[in-house]
Amino acid sequence: MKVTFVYPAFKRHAQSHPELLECVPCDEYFGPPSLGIAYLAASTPPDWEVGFHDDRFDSLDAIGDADLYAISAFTPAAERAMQIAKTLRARGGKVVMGGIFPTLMTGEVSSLCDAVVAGEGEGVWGRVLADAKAGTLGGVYRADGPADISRIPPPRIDLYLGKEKEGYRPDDYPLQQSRGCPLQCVACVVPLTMGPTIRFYGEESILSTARVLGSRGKYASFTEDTAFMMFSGARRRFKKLLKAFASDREACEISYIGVSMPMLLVVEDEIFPMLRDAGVNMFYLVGGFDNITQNAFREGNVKELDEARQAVARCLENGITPYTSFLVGMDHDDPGVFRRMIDFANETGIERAEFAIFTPYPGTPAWTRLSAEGRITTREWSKYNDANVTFKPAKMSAEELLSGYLWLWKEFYRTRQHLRAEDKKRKTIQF
Amino acid sequence: MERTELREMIMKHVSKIAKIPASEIKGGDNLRDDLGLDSLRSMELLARISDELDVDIEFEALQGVQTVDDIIAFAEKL
Repeated sequence: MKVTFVYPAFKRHAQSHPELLECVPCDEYFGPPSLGIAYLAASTPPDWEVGFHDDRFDSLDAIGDADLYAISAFTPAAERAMQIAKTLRARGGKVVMGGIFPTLMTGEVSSLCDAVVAGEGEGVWGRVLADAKAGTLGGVYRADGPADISRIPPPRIDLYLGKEKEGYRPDDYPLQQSRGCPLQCVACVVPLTMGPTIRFYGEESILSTARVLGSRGKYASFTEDTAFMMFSGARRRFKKLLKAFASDREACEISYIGVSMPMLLVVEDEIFPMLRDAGVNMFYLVGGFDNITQNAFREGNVKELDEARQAVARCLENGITPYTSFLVGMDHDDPGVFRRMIDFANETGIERAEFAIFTPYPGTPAWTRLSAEGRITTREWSKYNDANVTFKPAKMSAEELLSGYLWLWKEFYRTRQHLRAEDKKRKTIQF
Repeated sequence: MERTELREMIMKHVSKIAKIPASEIKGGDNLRDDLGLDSLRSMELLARISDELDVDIEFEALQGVQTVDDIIAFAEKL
């Protein structure tokens, strides 16, 4: 029996707005897929052959035969995932869909595939495969509770590495310390899909993946800021992990870590040398989910603006590049927000940034509220990628929001064209 | 950890995060109103204390903590 995992293509900023490729002096980076497929592949019994199809680079005609196709999709890839499901089923294939979008919008996909995995896959994957083998695959598979990820095998990162080719050689691959989050941020899907309790992968599992990456000359990235959290011993474990990365000669270095500004302001000083020893030289400063970045760019706001300045300064003082993500289009954002963001970036010395449009991802509290207010303007899921306006903004028109977002990209990088001369690693950003 | 030692350790962390000398901090001080700690800084405070005591604390357990004395009582139960 063979199961082929499918990672559907989706658009990001540069594919949605190709003109950005001309004005942004950085190399566009195609990262590897998120870890969902790699973890589920690792939980697949040995009597199943595992295949992997990356729809971003491979033609669907070349996908080959399989007894089961397992499509994993988040919202930007949902439309393409549904197209792929239809195509594969028309060819007689059996299709199961899972991931963030099928979990939160099960009704949207259930008629297009043979079965849906809602929530984490590990708890039901054995049953899905057994049913597929027995010819009884069908319905929605939902685990009774969160998976015990402390004992699951390391992710099959080799599936992703095996897809590298000329023009697609990512420098870093994602790693995660944990799943779940107790915070209920209005636009975040993590607690909705992974639950409110932080659970941890086994340290040896993380390190063994880091050794695989190290042997290939890669870096690891921790994109979620739950690593820094103070609950459940998350940060204590992360500090231990940083030490392990630094002392393990075979483990790769860590390229960057996602962190929010409030977390950056309160974290203890002693963590910075530990980060440097593990190779970290950049923070991905996540914006728009916390009280500082939600309020810093309001007209006349002093307190949070000052805190945002302190957060960027703390990065720079510790020799860490603040790769800053600015989110626009929140309800209090007026047309002056764009200029205020650029002024802030120029004043604080931010050299690399990304700009994103607030997006009410289906299933989140923001989606529920805007739906109730009749402000959702499209259900074209490929536009739910932070690069399009999918709702009616409160204090400006949709056109003003889109043009302001594009102006931010152009204006910020207009004065940073010197980045073109930097080495590949330093000038590569995801956009 | 002895009660006095525990209290000193907690005062040290409250002082560091609130940026107020330990001698000026009283047990009845409210973390937000008297010491100016927002929720994140209050959680950070409890995290550092739990770090020092080498125990994990859960998000829910932090919800009822409002004063320095609450923290001491909380820590004594860990």
